Amino acid sequence: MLFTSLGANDERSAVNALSPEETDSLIARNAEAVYRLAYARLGNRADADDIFQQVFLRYLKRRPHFANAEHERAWFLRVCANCTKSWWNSAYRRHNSALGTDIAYEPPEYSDLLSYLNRLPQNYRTLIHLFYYEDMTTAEIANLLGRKESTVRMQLTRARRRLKEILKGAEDIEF
Amino acid sequence: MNFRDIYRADMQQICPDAQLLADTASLLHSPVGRRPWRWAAAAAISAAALVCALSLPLMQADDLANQPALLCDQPDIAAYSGSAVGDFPTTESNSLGSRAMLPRENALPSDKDFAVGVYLDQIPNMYLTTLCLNCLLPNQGSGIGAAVACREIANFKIFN
Repeated sequence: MLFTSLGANDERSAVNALSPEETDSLIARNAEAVYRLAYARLGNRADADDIFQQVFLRYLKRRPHFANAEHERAWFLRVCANCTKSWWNSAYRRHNSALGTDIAYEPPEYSDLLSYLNRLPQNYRTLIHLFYYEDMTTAEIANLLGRKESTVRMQLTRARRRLKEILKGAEDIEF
Repeated sequence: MNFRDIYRADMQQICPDAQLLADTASLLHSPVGRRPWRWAAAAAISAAALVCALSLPLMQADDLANQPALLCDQPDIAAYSGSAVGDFPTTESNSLGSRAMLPRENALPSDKDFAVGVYLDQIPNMYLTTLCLNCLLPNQGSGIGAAVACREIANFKIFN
C-alpha cells in the first residue's frame, strides 16, 4: 500500500530536530499539497491560510519521525484534513457567517470550475481533490480519512453525480 | 475534455503566497518552537504559578492567625479545649460538610454555654480538632487549619 498506516505512536515518536535548511525543505515539499487540500475543503483562501499554519504548528508540537516520503506526505494530508474538520465544527465558524457570494471578492484568476466545486458538500470536495489531484486510490483515501473503502467509493460516485448536475451544459467533460 | 486535467490545471493556480510561506518558516525556525525552550518556559511559568498559589493562603492564614486571643480568651472555648480532643460534639455531615446551616439572626440563644456548643457543633470536625490543638498549644496554632477555624468561630457574632 502506497500510504502507510498513521497511528498515534507515529505522531508521538522520537523528537525529530531539523536544521533550518531541513525545515525549509520540509515546508517546500508539503506546502502546496497542504494548502490545496485546505482550499479544496474550505473553498476560500483566508481559511486555507489559517489551516496551513495550523498544520505546521501541529508539526512543530509533535515533531513526528517520518519513515519515508510517503509517510510524511500522508501525515501532512491527514493532519490538514483533521484541522479543517476541527475548524468546520468550531464554535467560531458556527457563530460567524461568511460574506455572501454576491459581495465577496474573488480573484480573477480563479476558474469557474472551482466555484462550481464549492457548491459541493465539503466531504465530496475532499474526495474529488484527493482522487483527481493527488491521484490517490480509493483505498488510500479510505486509509487517510479513516473510512471504509466501500464508503469512499460510494461517496465518490455521488460526488461525481452531483458535479454533473452542477455542470449542466458541459456534457463533454469526462470524469 | 477530461475533468482530471481541467481540475489539476485550475488547482495549480492555488498556492500559498510567499508571505505565508515566510511566516511559517520563521515560525518553525524560532527558538520558541524548539522543545528545550518550550519546556524551560513551561517549567518557569508552572513554578511561578505554584509559588503564588502556595503563598496566597499562607498570607491569608497569617492575617487570620493574628487574632488567636479572640478565641483563647473565651472561657467557653477554653472549657471545650480543656476536654479530650475526641469529646467535641459532632454533627451529621452532609455532602457539603457540616458547616453552619442555621441563619445567624435566628441562632442566638440566651444561654452562652449552650450557644458555644451549638456553634461548635456546626463547624467541620477537622477545624474543631485544629482549634482544640490551637487553644491547648497556642504557640503552635498558626497553621492554616487553625486560622480557618478562628475565622469560622469569629464569624459568629456571639464572640465579637
